[in-house]
Amino acid sequence: MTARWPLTEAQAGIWYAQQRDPGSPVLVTGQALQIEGPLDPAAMARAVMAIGREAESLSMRVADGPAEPEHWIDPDGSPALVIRDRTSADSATVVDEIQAEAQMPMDLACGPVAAFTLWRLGPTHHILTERIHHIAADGQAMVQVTRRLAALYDAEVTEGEPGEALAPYARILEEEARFAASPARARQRDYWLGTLADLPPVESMSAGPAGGDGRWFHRAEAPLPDDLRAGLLRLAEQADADWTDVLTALTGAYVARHLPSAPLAEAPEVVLGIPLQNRMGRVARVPSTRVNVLPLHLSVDEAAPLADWVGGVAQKLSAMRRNAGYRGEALQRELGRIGAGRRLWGPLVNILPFDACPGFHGCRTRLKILGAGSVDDITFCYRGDPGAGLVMQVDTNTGLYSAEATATHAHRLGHFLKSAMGAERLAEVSTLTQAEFQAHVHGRNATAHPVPETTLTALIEAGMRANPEAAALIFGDVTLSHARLDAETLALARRLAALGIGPGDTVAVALPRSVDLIVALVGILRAGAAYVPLDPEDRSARRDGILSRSNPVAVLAEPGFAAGGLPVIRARAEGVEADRAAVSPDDPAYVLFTSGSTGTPKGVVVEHRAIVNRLLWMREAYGIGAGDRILQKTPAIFDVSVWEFFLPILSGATLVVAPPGAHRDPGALAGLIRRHAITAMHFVPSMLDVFLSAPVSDGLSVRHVFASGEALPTRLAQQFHARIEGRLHNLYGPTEAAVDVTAHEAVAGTGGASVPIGRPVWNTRCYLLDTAGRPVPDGVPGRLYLAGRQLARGYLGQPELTAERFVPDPFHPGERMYDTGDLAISDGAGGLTFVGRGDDQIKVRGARVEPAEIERALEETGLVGRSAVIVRKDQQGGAQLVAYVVPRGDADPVAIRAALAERVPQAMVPAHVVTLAQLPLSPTGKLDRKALPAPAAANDASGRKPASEMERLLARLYAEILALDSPAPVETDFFLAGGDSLRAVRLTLRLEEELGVDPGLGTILETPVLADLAKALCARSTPDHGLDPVIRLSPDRDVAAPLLAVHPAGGLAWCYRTLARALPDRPVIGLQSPLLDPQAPDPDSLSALARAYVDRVEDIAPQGFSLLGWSLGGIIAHAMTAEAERRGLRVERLVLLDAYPSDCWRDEPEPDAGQALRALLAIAGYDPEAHVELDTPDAIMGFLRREGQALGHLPEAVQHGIVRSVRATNDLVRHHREDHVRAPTVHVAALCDQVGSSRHAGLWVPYTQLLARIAVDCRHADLVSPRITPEIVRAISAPWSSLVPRDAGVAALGAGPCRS
Amino acid sequence: MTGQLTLEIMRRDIAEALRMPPEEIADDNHLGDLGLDSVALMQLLMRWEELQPSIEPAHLYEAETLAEWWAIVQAGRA
Repeated sequence: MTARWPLTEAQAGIWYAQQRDPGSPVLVTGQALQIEGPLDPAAMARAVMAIGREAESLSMRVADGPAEPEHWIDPDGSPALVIRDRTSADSATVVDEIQAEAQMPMDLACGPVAAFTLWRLGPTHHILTERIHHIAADGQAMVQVTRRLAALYDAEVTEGEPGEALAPYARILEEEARFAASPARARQRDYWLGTLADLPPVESMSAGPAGGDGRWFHRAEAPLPDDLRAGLLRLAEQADADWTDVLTALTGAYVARHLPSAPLAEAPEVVLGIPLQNRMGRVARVPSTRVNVLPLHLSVDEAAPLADWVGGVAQKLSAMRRNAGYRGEALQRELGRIGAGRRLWGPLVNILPFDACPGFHGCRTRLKILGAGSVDDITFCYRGDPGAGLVMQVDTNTGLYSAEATATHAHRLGHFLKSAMGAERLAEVSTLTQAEFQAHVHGRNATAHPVPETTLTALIEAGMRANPEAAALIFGDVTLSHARLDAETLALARRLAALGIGPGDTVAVALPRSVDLIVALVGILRAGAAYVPLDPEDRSARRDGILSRSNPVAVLAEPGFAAGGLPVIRARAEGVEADRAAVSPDDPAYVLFTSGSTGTPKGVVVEHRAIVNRLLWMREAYGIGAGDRILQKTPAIFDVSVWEFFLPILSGATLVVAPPGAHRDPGALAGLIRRHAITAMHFVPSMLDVFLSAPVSDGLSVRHVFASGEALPTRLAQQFHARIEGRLHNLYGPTEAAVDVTAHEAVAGTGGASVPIGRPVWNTRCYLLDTAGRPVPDGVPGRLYLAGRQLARGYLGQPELTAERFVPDPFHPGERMYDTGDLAISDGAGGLTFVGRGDDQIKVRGARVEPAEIERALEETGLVGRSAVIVRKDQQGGAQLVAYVVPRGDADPVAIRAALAERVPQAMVPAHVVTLAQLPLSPTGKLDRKALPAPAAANDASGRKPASEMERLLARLYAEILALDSPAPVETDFFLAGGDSLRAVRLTLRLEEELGVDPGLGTILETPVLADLAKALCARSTPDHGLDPVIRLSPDRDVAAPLLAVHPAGGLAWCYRTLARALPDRPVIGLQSPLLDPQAPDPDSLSALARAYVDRVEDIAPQGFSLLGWSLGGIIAHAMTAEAERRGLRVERLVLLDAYPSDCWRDEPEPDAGQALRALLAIAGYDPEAHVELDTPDAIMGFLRREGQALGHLPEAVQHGIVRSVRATNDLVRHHREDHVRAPTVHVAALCDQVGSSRHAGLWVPYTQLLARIAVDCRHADLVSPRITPEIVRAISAPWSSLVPRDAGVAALGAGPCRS
Repeated sequence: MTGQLTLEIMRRDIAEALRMPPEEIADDNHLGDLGLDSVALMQLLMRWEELQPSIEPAHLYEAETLAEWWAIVQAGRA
């Protein structure tokens, strides 16, 4: 028996990463050597054999052992050179083939973990591809192996000596033991725990999901120019640092500029991951995985002399190297930095200062790196040295970055490094390239548009005169024509003029929504004065304060208004009139008071030319004209009312004024919209939510609906389009910039949490700046500054405050810009999205949290109608998320919290869920945060003892695996209580034993809190140990039609678990044999069985499904397809995994009980043919138990059920006759077993209408293994057209050669 | 080629590379545990090769203490 050893700490980290996604190739390192010259393929094959003998880790195998994962060296497992003759192929095809090979996953238990392929393109042109799993080799080991391979090859060709052999693998195990016992380890551990005690939250540069599956990486690379390399050496000298330290430090400074918090922080902090080679001494020449990633915490001092700061970083790096033996994985475990939102380091900076490209005798070689070995987030790699040349590579995780973003980083980082070389301090170095700067500051703000130098007054007058007889205003039963409105408002203006009121004066208005209100506002404007609206219902001190500060000359109000001595004027009355004074575009048009952060309202003074720009833009942008009917429902004290009042008049449209109070009443609003055929109106998103939830809003038609005032959730936009016919526009702007400055149309079906606020309107500029006033890159939040024609004059009577918020525009000398205090993010084209306020950024447990995203996830649980997530300070002063929800039905907070925990990272699960009958809204329809009650202790899920059976089971298992003295309480967080990834894997195995269902490692990583995990498991596991006739193999997702996977002869469908995980967008449902139940009667025929199965699934998937069956399961799946088609059900696709029609079996002997039980081996993923020694039930079950398989613990009754299922299914198959099916059918053949037999895909031709064939170079048993799963996914999901013509080429592109 | 490589020159250079006082580097300390890595070693080698061109780098990589290094350097002279 080969010796087996526990994994080294380095290997364990990689093993765990691979376990999370067994079918992913991302941990396979790979490179391609272009070899030009007279290469001898036979000598190369001998050299590969020789390196296989020397480098034992190339024959490594890894699998779960009884207690923990183990590794061993397979004596027959060393790689052999595969030679592929492509002399007649075109180079593009070969490139594709090499890329496909590079992305083949490896099976660590079965191997191989290393593969060498020689692609022969011509007699003097070859490509050698080398692939080694990261568990067997790191980047430097790959270099060692390649160099040694070259030496061995040269010795073969020249018949010379190959030099000293690589060192034996045993030294790795010796070094692991030496260091574990050395005092250095304890010293280093102390160093790290001390250094990392104040580690800040670790952030990513990623702006969010990028759409990829994270199983591969994007790469962008660029050489660093010569002068930059010279600069590096110069700066290194000044800083008394190594040039590698300079690169690390500057890359850190670059990263800091891209973190979500950095552009807003005074001294940005960044946590890099630094791979340290960790291979000094006896292990230096053993190819293996030794590299150790450790965190480097930098505080970026932009004001310090650059050389000083770099010197400080170099000191930190030296300290790191003195402590480079202590494993990063151990620190992750000890500090609880595992899983989403708890990372120990962010971007990696990897400097590889060695030449990786050896020469082969008589040939020239060029190197291309194919696989990086894993990219968790983003890796900045520098290869070479300043003397010979440096290449920068940016590798990114495809789940987090797009290819375009990756290329942008390479370009921008090159620029950043170059400008840093000439800078005294980092503060001088711009983040953006010159071209980006130009685009951000100027190109995206090129909004110049001619607008007449006129006044709102003049526009209103022209509008009224253009169409005198048309209705200008409707209020209840009253309709005013434009001519009438013209006369009434002119009379008021002339009465005001007679009182000496004119330009520069302010007149207060305290009227409810009414005809009088409109006449008052227009009359004041026509007199040349500015209006100041007051809330007519407000009798508080606030109104008195506003009145005294705005210093009006009169008040337009109902008689009896307490005006504190000011003249009270009625809007429509007789009186003395006089000629009006002329008004100019620079005169104030209105003054609106907004809440100030100090609590004192601020009066924002807006001039005519600003609001003219806003209104004329809107008229043109949305084509507002004579036919429009615009609803006025916003109280006059809010700026949205400004366009509601005046846009209809200056467009010749009709203004429909809602009665007072109607703006809060969905029924009244829907009635107004229907009765008056409203074509344009506004909603604050909170009110839009209420409105859309009311049945009365269904089926309305409104040409333009405008949303502003709050972030507009994407969900709400979707709901809008489902209920209302019309366009939805998201507008953004502060009162300080004439209502709105950006706009975006919210079309149906877009992603993200919030609808973007879009791009600037006419003559308006938007800047996203960091704290140093530099434009931030796309995807990084910046503080939003506004400039241009719409800026307000300032705050009435508050010059200091005005100067503080309206600051000089650094990009347009002599102009001002307004600091909104809002944070926004730009997409690659300049489209902005609001992300929050600059002063209350939310972070919980290291993760940046978007309440809108949590609210959306809460609503997606289906348990909650409306919700609001806010941050409160907890007793320790930390930030704590609280969710306020309006539950649907009788959903309780615990259930809601558990359901949410399935949808968002743990850090985003609120500490408290508070249920409310409804969310409190302010008079404007916004969420009233102050009215939200503090969460009561009784209303959350903490402090409970295990209650349910599942909780008790978990409490016991947590205690067992975490070595706790007593069962764990339900609030125990697995990782905070000492769990790590390996223990998490053990928990999954124990759960699989106990429950018969693999909960999935992901479930534990995502829901480590006991109570949450119990909920998650209850929601998905079946009570009867996974033997139900129908088992859900993946969470229910309403995305694509489900895949029904039919059991093979053994009756269990557990074998499709790996496949289910590889199909994230499709629910996978396993169909299991009823014969597992001893009570179930034998079916009469296979057709009867198929009918019973279709009965089962008809209700689950009435819209149709795809069917898949492995082995005899394929025959059942085919029979089900025929039955489903008879019933008119749609079968999207039928996939037959190495299944052959019943004719093939009719004359085969039927299996006996022992053979039948061997089906279990296949279900558990073993090749029964490889274990002929297991010939009794006891031997089989014993083997499965030793292998740690849950199947080994099946109750005896179930074993009998399996035997019965195998024998009955075989019997049924032998009496079955296939029908013809119409569904497109894909047959996947396992070549290794079927070549040479009489079985082939073509046997299905008589029984199918459309047949595609895929041949995979593997055994029958491998079809459900992770290695082959990508091929099966293709069979299920690839477009039909891509499957039909390519059947011949698949074997070459598919899985590698099988080893038996 | 001035002077000759000595144990104390090696100790001093290693100490500089590790940013440590030379007296803290004992002859039998594991240099890897003290923070010496292959990049630093490569630079040390470049420096030392001027004084003594015959050092076999592969051997230095595999050695773990200053005492072992010194033995390799001395063996190279023989």
